Amino acid sequence: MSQIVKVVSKPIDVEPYRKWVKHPSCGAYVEFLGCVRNHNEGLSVTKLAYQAYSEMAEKEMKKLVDRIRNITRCVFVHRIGTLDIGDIAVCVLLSSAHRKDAFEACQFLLNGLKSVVPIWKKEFYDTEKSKWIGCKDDCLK
Amino acid sequence: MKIKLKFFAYYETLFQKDEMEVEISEHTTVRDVFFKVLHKNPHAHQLFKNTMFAVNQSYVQSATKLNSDDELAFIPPVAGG
Repeated sequence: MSQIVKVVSKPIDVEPYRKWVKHPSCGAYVEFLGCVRNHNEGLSVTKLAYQAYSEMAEKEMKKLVDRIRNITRCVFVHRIGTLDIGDIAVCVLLSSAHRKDAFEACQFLLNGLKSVVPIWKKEFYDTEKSKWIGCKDDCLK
Repeated sequence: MKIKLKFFAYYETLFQKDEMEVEISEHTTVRDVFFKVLHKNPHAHQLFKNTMFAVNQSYVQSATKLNSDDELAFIPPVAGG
């Protein structure tokens, strides 16, 4: 499997990845884009700031990619820094011979991202307040 | 011996820095260091339960013993995507 796995600080341009992931042996292409939305838990979100333990985050992302099967090409990219509403935070593109493998691999990578990859996000609200998601409240349960 | 601590997200806010050096003795564990630096925090035990740890960029158990020049990161609940 060929792969592009990285944490980036610049905006993600998906188009080159769409071209790269194509392969004559593949009949299935799955693409997931995680974008910044303007609300969360009833609050109006104005922007997000992502932080990563970058070297380890890439290692953990690669470990996840190493566990997916029957995928020909895989793109798994996460952006860090300050993102505006609508910006792409994460993109996953997969090609495989059949759709089942690509769909399952996509779910696996995203579930793994949210459980073991050391990346965090801080939400900023229209009330001028901000908070790290999943950190303080969850830590103190 | 010295090790380097790395703080991210909630812990960076809590300590108001992203890293620091601490002096430890032989056989000191990850758990020992956590409670050493959070000994004044009333929520230390709850925080400990919800924190993962990495030494030199690999996840470890809290009972792991540290070596000189290790890089120990406190990993609060992750939130990528």
